Amino acid sequence: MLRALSRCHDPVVRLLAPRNTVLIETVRGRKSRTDPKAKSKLDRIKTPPPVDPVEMVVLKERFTEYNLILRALRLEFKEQVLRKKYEDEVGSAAEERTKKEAEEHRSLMAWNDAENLRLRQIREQRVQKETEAAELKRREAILLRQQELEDYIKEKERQILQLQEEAKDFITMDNLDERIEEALDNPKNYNFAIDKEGRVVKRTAIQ
Amino acid sequence: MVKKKRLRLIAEMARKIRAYRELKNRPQDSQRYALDYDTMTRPFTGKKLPVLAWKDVQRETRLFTLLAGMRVFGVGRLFTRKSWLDEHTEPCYWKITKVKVDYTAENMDHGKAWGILTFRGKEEPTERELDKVMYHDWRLVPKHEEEVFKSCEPVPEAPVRYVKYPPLLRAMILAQKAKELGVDASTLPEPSLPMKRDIMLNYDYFRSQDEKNQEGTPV
Repeated sequence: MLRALSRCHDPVVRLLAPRNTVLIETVRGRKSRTDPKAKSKLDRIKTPPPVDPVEMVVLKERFTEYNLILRALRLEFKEQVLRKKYEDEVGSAAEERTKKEAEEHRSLMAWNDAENLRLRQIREQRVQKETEAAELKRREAILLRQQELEDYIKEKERQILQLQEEAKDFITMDNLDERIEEALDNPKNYNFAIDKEGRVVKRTAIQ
Repeated sequence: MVKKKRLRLIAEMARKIRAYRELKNRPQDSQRYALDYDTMTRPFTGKKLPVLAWKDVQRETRLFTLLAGMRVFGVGRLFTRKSWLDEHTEPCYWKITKVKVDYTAENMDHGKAWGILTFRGKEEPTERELDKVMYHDWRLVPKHEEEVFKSCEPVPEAPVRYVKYPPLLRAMILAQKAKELGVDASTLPEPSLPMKRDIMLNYDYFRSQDEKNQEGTPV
């Protein structure tokens, strides 16, 4: 029912308050629109503070004067600010400024274009060099591969020829008997001896 | 990301019905502005009138209390307010053109009225709804006194006053002007601040000022 709407409270003077009293902070606006009047305040008649007429007249005069002066000053300041803004937009210096800015922009753009051109040429040269180097490498690779292929073929041919050579000495069903005879006739001794100095002795006791 | 809002159609309908009922059961003027003269409370809201208003409420009358006793409900008659009589020397009055009485009032004591205001001698061109009709402040101008009441010699508008600037600002202005013109500050005239200036600070104003500055040099 009762809601705290805002917590802006009057600061309590803590210096002058004695130590043992309870510090109550005033909170304004605790009640909402629909809350009824407090029962203790139903018969309360709120009288405004008494006003001294002479003082009121004097104060009113002074305040009207003060407000008029302040309003005039505010108008002056506002006029200055708006005039400055007007001058910025539609002033004597504004057109020159815009022209200068346009000039600057154009020169900067020209410089930028020149830079772009220069860098483009450098880039093109570099790219060309790179393509040439790549081309060379490719060609070399091709040659290398071809060379390898040829070497391989040659190697294989050599092996084939060697095999053909060896095939003449192979044992076949025809010369089986002769070769057996031959093997039995010449016994081969594979034994050998070696000592720590590394001298090899092939002649051993034949079994 | 945000969940789709649920369409609460019945709540919407209820809201509309409540608004319609509020419109239909609006309190009449007679209910709202009824006053208990003994306790100085309004029975509709239960609120008390402020203490400084009690004297006026007991002594003076409301506009429609006066209108209820007149022929044609006072259309075409002049009415002043006691606060105006106290405050201003020039005549301020309402000339009533249209009256709409609240039919629920017992003595036809409340309603709305329209009229032409003459405030401090200056008449307004169009008719307006009278405000503060329910205030206990109104006085009827009798027919035989109307001419005397309306007559007033028009007070000429006071010429625009010029005031000195505050000292620091004055010093700043003088210094700036001296710098611009290249002359010593003591030879410059005293800058004065006009209290009232009827200008609108917009584009056209500055343009006209520029043209005036340009026209200043005679060809």
